[in-house]
Amino acid sequence: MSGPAPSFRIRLSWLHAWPGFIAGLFLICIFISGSLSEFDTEITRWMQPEFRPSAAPPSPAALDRAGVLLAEKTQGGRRGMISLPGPRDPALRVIYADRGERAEVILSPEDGHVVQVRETAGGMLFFAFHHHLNMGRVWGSNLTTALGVALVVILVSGLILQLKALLPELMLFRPGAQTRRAWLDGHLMLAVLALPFYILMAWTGSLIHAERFFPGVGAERPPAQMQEARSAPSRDMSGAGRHGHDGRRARAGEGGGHAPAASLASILADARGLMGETGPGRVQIARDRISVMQADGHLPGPGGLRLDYDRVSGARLKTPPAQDAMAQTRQTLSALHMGHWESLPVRWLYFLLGLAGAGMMAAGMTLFLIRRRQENRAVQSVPLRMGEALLMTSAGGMPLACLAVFWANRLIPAGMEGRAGMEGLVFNSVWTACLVYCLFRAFSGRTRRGWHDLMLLTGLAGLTLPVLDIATGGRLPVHGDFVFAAVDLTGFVCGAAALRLASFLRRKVGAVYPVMQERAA
Amino acid sequence: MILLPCIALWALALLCHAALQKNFQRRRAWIPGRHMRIVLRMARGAAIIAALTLCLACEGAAGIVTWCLAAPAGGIPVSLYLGLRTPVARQMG
Repeated sequence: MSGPAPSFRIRLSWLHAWPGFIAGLFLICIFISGSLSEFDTEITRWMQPEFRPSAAPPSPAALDRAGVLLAEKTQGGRRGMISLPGPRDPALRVIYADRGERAEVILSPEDGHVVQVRETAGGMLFFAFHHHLNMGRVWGSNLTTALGVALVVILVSGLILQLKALLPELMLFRPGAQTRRAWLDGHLMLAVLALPFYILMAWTGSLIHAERFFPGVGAERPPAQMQEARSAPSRDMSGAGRHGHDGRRARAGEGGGHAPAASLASILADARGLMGETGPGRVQIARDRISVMQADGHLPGPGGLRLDYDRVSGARLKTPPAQDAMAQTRQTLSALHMGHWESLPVRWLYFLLGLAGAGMMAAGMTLFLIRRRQENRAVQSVPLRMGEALLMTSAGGMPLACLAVFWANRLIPAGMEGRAGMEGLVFNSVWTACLVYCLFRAFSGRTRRGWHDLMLLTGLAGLTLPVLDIATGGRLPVHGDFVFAAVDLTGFVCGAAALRLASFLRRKVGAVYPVMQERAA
Repeated sequence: MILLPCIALWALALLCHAALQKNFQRRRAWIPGRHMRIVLRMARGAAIIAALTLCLACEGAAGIVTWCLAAPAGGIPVSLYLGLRTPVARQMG
């Protein structure tokens, strides 16, 4: 005989807790890597200290050289583009796809000679991880899209669960209260105030790949373009897709292998006059035309301007037809998700709120585990230990693995072949080592000790990042170049926060694990 | 540069909101009078509307995003400040 059906609140609580915990393990990593992706260009600059920015705009010779180089690198129909110097990235880059991976060459804006910089995965490592969790561009993207949808469900279910206490307890935070209460306060404080941001991120993030996940969304795109998008997903990473212009790529079969016969300098001068303050940001060259795309920095809306020029004569072609409403909406949502249209302070807010989102999920998942632990006090079950280890790896190991990439960038010899892949390998290896260590700590009943050690290592790695930077080629913030100082300072602050947490946990470890104290004595 | 004033207005609004809550008043043994409550309510509403107006006036429709982002940026530090400044013994109540 079955008992009474569980109430709506109990069902909702289950929906918030269990899928929330499982999805949260991935979402914490997605939020942390997404926060770092907000400054991917700046991180890449930090990781290439050899590059010295020049205030001079690119000369006609440098632009022509970039055009020829792009044609060389995109032989055989491969995709590529020229990224023009701008306020965020002062380098003239030729970006192309090499065996499915993103590759680039930096040119001097004065005369177009190739600037020798170290090969690095740069900020794109974090972007790619945020995008598809290193699980392949089809499965990984589908998984992140599914997680985005799950996040909306989890947020809405949590909102309904806390609806009654939402306003009275909006600003309530009691770190000194009993453990469960304190974690719940922290979870709610980080969740409720930033709820519009999380919903915006989840929704817009899901819609970036909506055509794969919701088949109806791509209905207005031409069938040939849809076919190309499905058959060649790796092209997303060739550069154009990264900048939110995936809806306006050169048509299939046109890209690659064509040097511009017309002068790029005169084309860009014309484009600059029409694009106004933000100016041109990227150039793509197809068989018959040269497309100039507006730089990031325009407000979200119909999207940045794109101008097409004849490849041979350099004459401006008719303005491309306006995109349909679906494509415009998609591009606006993509711009909102990436935040590249925003000013620097707002991008910092994106970064901080992304980290707050990871903290919110970690607090909620800790609360989930505390409840399960209290329910199973006598039986320390394997799933519970596993859950503790995975949470530790996700929330504690991920920041350490990210910092390890910064360290690897400076410690791996600059001239080594395949060092970009090595940086990725370091990221994966450190994270895997964290998983093994967390499993060991969780199954030996010393979870807090595991947290403490991870925080200690993260703290040390972050605090010493400025020292590493200065010792290995970083620059002091002179001549308005604050990128190195900003990355160092961010690492330092994160390291200090992690050390503070480690010191707090150190006190708790003694209280919870008297056995350890006895051993120490 | 409207972000800073917007964050400050949100912080003010949320501080007033916190001061109007019973748990806040109980933990500080402070009961605002009728006039004070009216002032707090008016300040809370006015600060939120002023922040929204400022964002919309300076950035148009995109100002909505800035306004939404400024809420946690103003609220979380205030919440942390209030939480960490309250004596532990009073947090139990």
